[in-house]
Amino acid sequence: MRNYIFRRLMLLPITVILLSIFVFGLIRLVPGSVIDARLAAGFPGTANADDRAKLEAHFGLDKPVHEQYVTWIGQVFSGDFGTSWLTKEDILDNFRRRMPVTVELLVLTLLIYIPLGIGTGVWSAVRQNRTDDYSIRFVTILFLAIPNFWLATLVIVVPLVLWGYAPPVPYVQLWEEPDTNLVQMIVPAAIAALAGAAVLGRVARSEMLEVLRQDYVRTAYAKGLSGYVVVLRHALRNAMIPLITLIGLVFANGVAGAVIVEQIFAIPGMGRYLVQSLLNNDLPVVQVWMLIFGAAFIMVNLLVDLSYGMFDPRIRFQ
Amino acid sequence: MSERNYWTRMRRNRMSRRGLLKASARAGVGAAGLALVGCGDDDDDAQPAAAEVQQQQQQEQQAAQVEQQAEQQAMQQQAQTQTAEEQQAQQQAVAQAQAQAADGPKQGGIVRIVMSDGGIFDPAIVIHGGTYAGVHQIYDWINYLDEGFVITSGMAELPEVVDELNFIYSIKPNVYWHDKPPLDGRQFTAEDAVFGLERFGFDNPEFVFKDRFSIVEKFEATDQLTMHVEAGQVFSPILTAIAEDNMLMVSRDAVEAFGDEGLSTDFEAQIGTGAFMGLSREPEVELRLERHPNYYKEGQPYFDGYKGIALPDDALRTAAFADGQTDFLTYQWTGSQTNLEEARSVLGEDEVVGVQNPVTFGMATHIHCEVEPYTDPRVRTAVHLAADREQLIALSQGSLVIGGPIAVAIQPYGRTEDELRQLPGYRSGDLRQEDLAESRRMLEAAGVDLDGFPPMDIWAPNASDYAQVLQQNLAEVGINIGINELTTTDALAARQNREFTMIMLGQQGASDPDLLYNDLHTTGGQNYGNFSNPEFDALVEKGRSLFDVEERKEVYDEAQDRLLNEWNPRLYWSWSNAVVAFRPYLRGFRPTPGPTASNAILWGMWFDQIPEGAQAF
Repeated sequence: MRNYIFRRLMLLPITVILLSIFVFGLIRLVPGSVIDARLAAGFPGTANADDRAKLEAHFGLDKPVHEQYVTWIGQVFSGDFGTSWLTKEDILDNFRRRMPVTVELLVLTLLIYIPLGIGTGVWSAVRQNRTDDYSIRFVTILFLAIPNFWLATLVIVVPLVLWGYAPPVPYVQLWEEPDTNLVQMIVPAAIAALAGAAVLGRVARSEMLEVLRQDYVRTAYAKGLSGYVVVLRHALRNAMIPLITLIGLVFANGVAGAVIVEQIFAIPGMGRYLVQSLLNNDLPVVQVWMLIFGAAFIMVNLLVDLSYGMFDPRIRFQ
Repeated sequence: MSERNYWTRMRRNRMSRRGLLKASARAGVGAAGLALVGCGDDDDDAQPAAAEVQQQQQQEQQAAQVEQQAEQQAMQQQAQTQTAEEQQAQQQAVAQAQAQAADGPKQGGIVRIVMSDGGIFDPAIVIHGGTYAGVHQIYDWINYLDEGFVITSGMAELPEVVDELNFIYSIKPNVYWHDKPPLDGRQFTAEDAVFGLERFGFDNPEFVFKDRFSIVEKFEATDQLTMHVEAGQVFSPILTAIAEDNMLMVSRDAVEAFGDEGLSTDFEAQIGTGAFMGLSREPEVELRLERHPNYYKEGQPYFDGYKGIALPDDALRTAAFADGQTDFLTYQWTGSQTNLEEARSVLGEDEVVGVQNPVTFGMATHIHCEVEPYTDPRVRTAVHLAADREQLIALSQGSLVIGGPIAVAIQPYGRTEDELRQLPGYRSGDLRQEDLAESRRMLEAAGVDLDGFPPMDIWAPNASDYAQVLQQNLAEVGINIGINELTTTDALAARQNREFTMIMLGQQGASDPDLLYNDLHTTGGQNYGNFSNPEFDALVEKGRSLFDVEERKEVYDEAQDRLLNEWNPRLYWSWSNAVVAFRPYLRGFRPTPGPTASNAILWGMWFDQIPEGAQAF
């Protein structure tokens, strides 16, 4: 197992380098540039070829692309993530400030997503073809179909119209006012979790139905074990492998969900940072963002792979 | 108007919570159903009858469209009449309410404002309108533009006009910088004013107002409190340019201590002479400012502090306002009549004050005058005559008004909606049919291929709906034109690089009719369509050399008439209709004009009653 982990970790820098080349090249294919936006912002009519050349030199865009890449990746590996072209703020400072916010949102999302998804899936399987099962299946399809941005707007509008209630603003940090922070974060987290939980619930149901039909489950019941023990200890553990894979994927889904809910609920996290940077062609931020989340996703996948062994002792890492 | 908006309908259903929840559930079920149905295969058997069915559908659609358009026009006319009356009534009510504050201004409270955090504070760099949310409170102006674009005494008295080229500004002796190092509350001097103005023209590629004072020969401090401005040529808008809302004074000491970079991004470096001093900033969350105790306007500001809250989403912004967490619903240029109506539908008519703020930007359609088929002015005029302004404006949900070449806010130069509605191209009903006939005649005379028009570039998604309407309008005179959607940066780039034939996107304004020079003079910096006409050039050159308002008006009237009747280098159809909405317990509001309208002046406002949550930060 150690060898396996070591080999996977050794591959990480290579993967990150390839990812960085991909990201660096890809976002430069997107038409438009921050230079044009900056030049167009001035009035009356300050833009000329000289200004363009100066701004390009200012942002280092006058050099060949490969030279720009080498400079950038060298800086990144030495811990200098550069500054935003848009706000001129230090990118690393921004990440330090925003990352905990998004991590909190992701953790809360997971805390809702896993119990809700697995819980409804297991319950639905155990109560197959009864009213509970039909209700759960209906609700899961409903949440799969409803776009989360619509749901997010609805949960702001409906309480306001019915009870004159609005979520507290502005955003406060968890360590400053934990209760207010949780009130602000729990609804966005729930919205980010619901669609994923619906998928997890449906997969958990089908996996559980498969497992519950196995001989060893019947044997466990025959031995006189309680339904609770049979379902949770024997059946669920054997249904976990595909669910773990799905939970690993929630990291990517959670980040995508964060992009939307952070914007709607005015949460100053990484998702909102990405949206602003993408809209303004703020390439240094987008590059670093993609690189960091790419690397994080690789790590999460590694953890998911390693966790298989915990649920199924037959799995060996070679 | 309020009858048709979403919030009104929601409020009407307020009594029936069950109904509302049922509707939500139905929507969800519908969405789920659609998702399930969407999984099915396409029915290939329907192919043979498809052409017939499609043709029938098209005919039905066309008939429905005509009927819908007629209905929309009738509704629009009714709504516009209502809106104009309502707005007039609102303005009177606001004036009355503000006047009723007979017991005078009261000190105290923290005003809570919705803002967008641009992240850059340097007034010489503008990349985001949100920049001004805070800096307009921290910094101040030599002179500023008050209601009606009237140049008003600020940190300096109104200038003494020595002759057409020389102006003397006397700095008020009681103006002080904020009491923070390195300024430490020292007096604001003429040297500071000279530096503050000259800095806009410094050779920094990021400074966007470099040309603003290119005609100024020198700014000079003749003594501690006197600044002499000498122009190199007669340029009547110079006094307006100095008073425009971007022209905020920063200090040499702060620039030397923090550098240009620091002044851009470091909140600690924001040391001005304005009504409020920087206290703290949580990027994209909150900006806190405290009262400047040595502010030069005696007794002002009346608020103890300013709290700017960054809320990017409309729904959350309205909810926070309705819930009493903010005092202003809309503050900057983004506010529209629709925002106001939404808030009123939740809170009630009397609980929200709405005032139109005269801003000078809008949506425009630039035409490249050196690219076929638009090289022929007849083609451009045909497009102008075919565009249905009423339809276009109706789509804006109250955020735009019908506009001509000069923004309606710039009085007495800008044409009002009523004046414009009498002109060809702006008319409706039978007169519009005449305009369409004239448009067709011009196209025929020009001999252009109506199917050969290159696609119109548009700023998507902001201009998508407008572009579709314009596309339909042009189809009425036979022009078949496609739409090419561009992102913000692409659209800006296309405009900047003159790589378009027709492009629809926002346009910045100014505070003086001289904007026509920048927009359309052969050498104008914003002449994106490369329009060049010696007669027009002569007119706008004359306009910027005149000081007498009546004489200037004559010149700009002629320029506007000829632009709309003969040249049409742009398709003019709108200017912004920014609405500032706030709670009625706020008093002393004055609409303040400018290109961005983000400078709503707070220093003269006060709480008649300090609301809950506004006593302290």
